Amino acid sequence: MLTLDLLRAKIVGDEIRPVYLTISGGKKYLMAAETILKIHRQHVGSALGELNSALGQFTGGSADYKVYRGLAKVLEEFCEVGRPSEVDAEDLRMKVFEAAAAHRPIVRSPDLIFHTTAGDALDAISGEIGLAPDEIEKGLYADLKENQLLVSLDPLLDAVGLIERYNTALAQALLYRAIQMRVEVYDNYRQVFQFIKLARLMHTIERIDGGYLITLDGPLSLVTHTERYGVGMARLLPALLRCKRWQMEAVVNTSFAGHRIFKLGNWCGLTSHYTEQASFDSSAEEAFYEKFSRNKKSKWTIEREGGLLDLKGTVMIPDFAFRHPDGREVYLEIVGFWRPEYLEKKLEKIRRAGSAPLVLAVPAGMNCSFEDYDGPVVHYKTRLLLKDVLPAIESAYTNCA
Amino acid sequence: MGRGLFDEVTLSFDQGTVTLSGNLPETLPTWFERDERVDTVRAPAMWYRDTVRWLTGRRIDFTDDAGASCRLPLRIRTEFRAHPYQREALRAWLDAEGRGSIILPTGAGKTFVALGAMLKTGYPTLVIAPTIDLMNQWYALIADAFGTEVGILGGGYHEVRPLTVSTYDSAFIYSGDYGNRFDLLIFDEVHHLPSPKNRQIALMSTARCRLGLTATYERQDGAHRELESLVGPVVYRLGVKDLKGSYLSEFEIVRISAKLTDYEAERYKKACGEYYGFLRQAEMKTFGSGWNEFIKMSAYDERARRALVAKGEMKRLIAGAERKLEVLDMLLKQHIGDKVIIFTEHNDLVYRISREFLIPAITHETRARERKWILDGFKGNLFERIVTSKVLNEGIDVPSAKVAIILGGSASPREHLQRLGRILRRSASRSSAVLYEVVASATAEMGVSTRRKKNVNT
Repeated sequence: MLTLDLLRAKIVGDEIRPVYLTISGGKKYLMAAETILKIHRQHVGSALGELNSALGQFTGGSADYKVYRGLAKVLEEFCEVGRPSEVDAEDLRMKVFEAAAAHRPIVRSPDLIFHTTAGDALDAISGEIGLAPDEIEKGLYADLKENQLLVSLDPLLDAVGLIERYNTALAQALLYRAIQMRVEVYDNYRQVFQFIKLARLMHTIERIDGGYLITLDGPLSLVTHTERYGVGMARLLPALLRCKRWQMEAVVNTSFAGHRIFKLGNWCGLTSHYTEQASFDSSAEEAFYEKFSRNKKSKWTIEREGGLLDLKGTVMIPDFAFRHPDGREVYLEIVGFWRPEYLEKKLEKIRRAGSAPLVLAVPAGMNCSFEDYDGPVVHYKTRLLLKDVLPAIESAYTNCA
Repeated sequence: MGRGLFDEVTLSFDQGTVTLSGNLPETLPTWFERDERVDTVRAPAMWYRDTVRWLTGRRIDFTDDAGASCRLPLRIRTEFRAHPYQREALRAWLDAEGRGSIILPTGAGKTFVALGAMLKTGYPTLVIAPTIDLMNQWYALIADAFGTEVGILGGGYHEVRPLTVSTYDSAFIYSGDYGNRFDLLIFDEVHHLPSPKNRQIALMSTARCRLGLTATYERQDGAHRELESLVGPVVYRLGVKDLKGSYLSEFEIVRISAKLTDYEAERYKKACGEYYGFLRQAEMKTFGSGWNEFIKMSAYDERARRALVAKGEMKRLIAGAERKLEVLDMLLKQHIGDKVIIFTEHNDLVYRISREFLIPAITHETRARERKWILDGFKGNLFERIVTSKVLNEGIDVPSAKVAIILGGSASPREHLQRLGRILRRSASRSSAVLYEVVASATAEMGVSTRRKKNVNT
């Protein structure tokens, strides 16, 4: 990701917007991205210090250095870096300086009184260390960042790909300074909440037509405006970019113009580098989904992980959501063959869901009691049958209403 | 999760805040806020001590899941001959219920006070320092003093133990995770604490006891006033004048100028031409707000950008002037047998000196283990000289040296005073310390050096 000093953004009215690089707008930045890639490819096998001075030559005197350094920074994620020497440098230094201490004083220009130079000392201690003098010189500071080697660079990355990743990183960098984020999402709930949880953000959820409005911040936000949860929001962004329909507004603390709004949505054209969610947990789920979708008799439609149950502080995303044209909505959670502890946790969650219209599908003969659960329970053997589930869906709603 | 049978009051820690749950009284202390997101009441963790007192005062039974209270069986291995003022400072802090700041000049041994606070309270302690280098120094000091494993949070380490050292940056990042693991926070250079980010370290911690240490408490922006609520009041203060002569040794300053080589001078002239040429042409000034304007302009104007790069080149040439190495060689020859610390402006030069004289180097890249080995070696006479970049500036555990050689440097007076503090420290020998300042001649650096000297005696 980009560091804050490489962020480029502008204020437009109440809003703050990243200054994205466009590919259609002109060849200038595409060529710059190509040059930066080329410099990297030429330096595969060289030290990072050399790479950086070559990059410095290119970026140094240009007023666009912020763009160029940003591109190079994003490119780091595609680079593999390795050690230049097999020798443990820290260990070597300890040995060398200790051995050299016996030959002091070591001087730069030898004279009549003091005649031992660093070269003489290295020759003298070379046997003791077990390395040739030039190997000692090479290995002595081999662990410094500038002496590390660029081992390889992702061969699939091209200039367009670099610019796309840069643009996403730019939006993320702006979110580092976000105080609060409000997101509307209409799908991809599981991945979105996986990252909300990972980033340890706190949420409040409101139902909106066809989706949810989620407000995100953190514990301390209750008492003070703080940017400390912005990094988490930045990590969430690529998951949002995976949603088919979404939009967000973040309140950003700009150092020079107070609070401004940063808006993004599925219209923004940014790309995500997070991988797509695997579509089904099990083939049983997949088979059930296929069968339900093909069924023309029922008016209920099915959506995989199509709804959220707000458990205050955490959420539950049941396996399926069913919707009726008259506006009713029911969920189904398939309880698999899990370890007892996992099941206990799941049950606790389900109990807390309380009044939600939720159907449980439980394997027949499972060694676990569902007495505490007052919603409908459906038992299944190898596969879940429509004729069992449909009445349960109907009854779930009446139960809870 | 599973609440007690009678739903009794529980005080918990949640990511830098404390929450109260259970059968709560109608009115709660003002520092609590209702949190609708998860249906609880919440306050910054800093209020932990007051909350415990409030609950106890009202005889409300509660389960404390928030605090870190335990006592460590600490034993000090290092023999300290404390000065009376150090004992007084520690006493004053303890009398203030273990909250507050102590202001002592650099070199006056504030680390003694810190170790004393750890020893007297026996609390799990987090020491927070402004730089990785200072953090590393604290690490070596504490590990040595108590002969125990010390955790490090920051600089590539993530290891939390009952005694842990950290940087302000890392402590900020992890204050949600570890805010209830320590009952004593020691803020080294506490004047760094009142910034929007850093202050959260104090805000998000349940620590009952807090100790701030610094030589320069007051901030120009007045933000030090915030320290009273975050750390506690100033409990002890001592100025340089109170100490000089009696506790700190005398020192002598010798300035030596080094000319640029012909090659360097040529490049310097060229860079000067580019820089000043631009300033004249654009009618820009580089003092006051002019400098900021120049920086801003360099973000969109190619010529301004090139001028800025030229300015950087000028600085580099001065800092790394070849002649300085020759002067250094000469000085080292004059001080055979004396302990010498060499300071430089940039890391490049540190490594160059390390290679050319085969002497150990400490920079911000040096990890804790190696640093300890080098400093121990210097103290124990294995090494007579060490070279370091700015890192030993604002510092604690720098061994006493008789000679310090500064090769280039920046003009900040505070920084300079703190550098002097290294060799001002009482050394075993009676003879006085020498500070050499090697500057490139006929360049801007002369001005810098003059500006510094004025501050030495204030």
